[in-house]
Amino acid sequence: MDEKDTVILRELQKNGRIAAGDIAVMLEVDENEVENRIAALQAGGILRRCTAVIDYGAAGVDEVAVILSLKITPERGLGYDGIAAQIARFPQVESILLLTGTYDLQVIIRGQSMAEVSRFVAEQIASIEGVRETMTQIVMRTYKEQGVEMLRPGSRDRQLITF
Amino acid sequence: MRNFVSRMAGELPPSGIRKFFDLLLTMDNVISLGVGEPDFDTPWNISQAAISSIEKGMTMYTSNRGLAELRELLSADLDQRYHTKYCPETEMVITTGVSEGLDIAIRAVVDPGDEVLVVDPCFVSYQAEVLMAGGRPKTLPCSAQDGFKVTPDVLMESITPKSKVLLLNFPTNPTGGVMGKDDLQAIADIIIDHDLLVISDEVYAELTYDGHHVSTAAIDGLWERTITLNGFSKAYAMTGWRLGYLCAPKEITNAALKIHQYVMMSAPTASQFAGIEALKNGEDAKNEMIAEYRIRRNLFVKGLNDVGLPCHLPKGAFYAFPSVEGTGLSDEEFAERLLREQHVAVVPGSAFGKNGRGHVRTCYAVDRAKLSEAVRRIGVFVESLHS
Ligand SMILES: Cc1ncc(COP(=O)(O)O)c(C=O)c1O
Repeated sequence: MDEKDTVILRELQKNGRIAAGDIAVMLEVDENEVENRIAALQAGGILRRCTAVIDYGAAGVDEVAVILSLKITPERGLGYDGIAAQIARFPQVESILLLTGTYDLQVIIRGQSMAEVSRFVAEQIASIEGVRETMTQIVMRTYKEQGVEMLRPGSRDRQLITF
Repeated sequence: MRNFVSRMAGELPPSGIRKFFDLLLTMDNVISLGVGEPDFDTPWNISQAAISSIEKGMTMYTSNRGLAELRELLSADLDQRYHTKYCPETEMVITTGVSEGLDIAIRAVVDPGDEVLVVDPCFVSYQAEVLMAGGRPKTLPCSAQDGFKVTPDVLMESITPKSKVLLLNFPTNPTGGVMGKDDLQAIADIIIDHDLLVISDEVYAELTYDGHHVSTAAIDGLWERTITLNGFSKAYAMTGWRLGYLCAPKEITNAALKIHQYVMMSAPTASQFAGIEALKNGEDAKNEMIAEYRIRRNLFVKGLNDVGLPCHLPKGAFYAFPSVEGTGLSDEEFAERLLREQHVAVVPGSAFGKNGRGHVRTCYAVDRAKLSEAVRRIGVFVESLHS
């Protein structure tokens, strides 16, 4: 990882669809170099996936997200990793973080309806051995995600001509 | 009734782009490359510092020179960044933007009839500022072949016995030209021999993409005869805050301060608190914006060249100044037709002086998606001229 890789990653994070040719112009290098670097970043497990930030609300799609906080009894030899890995396999689970404080794991879960998510939490997560306590919070609104402010319009009015 | 307008105001040349404004107002879906300001918001911590200064009731005038803490921070910043030393107590004044700094600098040193050498093409205010002070603007032609620098030959040719002030602006609006250490060194002797004062507008200093900015006052023998102007508008995305500063040897600063005191009292107080925060904690945000401009510059200039508008790679500021001569249109016709036919606003180069003819000023402080759409539309327009 060097400075150029950092720029490449940052650009891909901002816009996963950016063309390698454009990154090459930005970095003042040739396109092959960019492609090779991206391939190396992928092979090295550094660049995991280029994804999209979507405002489903704007699309009129109903979707629910909950934040599930869990207290866990750590497993001998594995600590929190075993249970976290078990939870990670469910496609409904968007992210899992290990935290300090009252709860150990924070899990973000998305689904089509509250009923679906509730069932999933009760049947699949709460029942995992080692999960001692759960707290489920419903996400009411997303203001910012992955660096994107959802409420702000793309651009503000400014003068069309100045000196 | 008599005509109450002063002769000076009456005779000031009107803005070169009046008819553009009128035309623009009738159009929609315009992508504007005609601005001269960052498209970023002021970093939030900076805005927050101003808000909290207001909440604390700091809404009075500051000292005429500006907040002491701000001057101290600026003094240290200039020293560290450009190796120019200015005493915060005696050699600096906080101004209401570089615009005010320019005005008080010129009025502090120009007597009626004094000649002020201004680079051509240059920022539109310069000639008017000189005229308002009773001075005579004399142009210093610069060309694309020289990278829009001031060369010793051109400077020598332009100096007359009446010349008193040389007004420099590097990196330059509208060309993006930059003067490096050698370039400045090459004209330093001429400046000294002819006993000129330099007013150096360095508002784009931090937007220098290749190498480091060299401040005029950092050149041997020039500090004593330089007024350095700088401000927060461009580097910190703070155009609306109206915050700048003037630095010069004590006698000149005091003269400028007198004028500042009568016309402005002090720069906006909340803005000065914002400036303090910018200097203390604004470095990262600033560098991020500069990195982004650099990227846009590379993409945009390549785009212009690809669609057939030859353009030098500008080394500073956030303007590209492509030639439109190959299209067979004058810069004014080009700009007007591009606006009418493709809804892209650019500024004709001749608005910045005779030597701007045949070019248009385009500002790439515009988000990337719009910038690439603008390139596409310019391409369609240029193509249409050939068919
Ligand atoms: C060369 C130059 N000097 C000064 C200014 C004015 O700066 P400020 O906003 O600090 O008054 C501008 C603004 O476009 C400029 O381009």
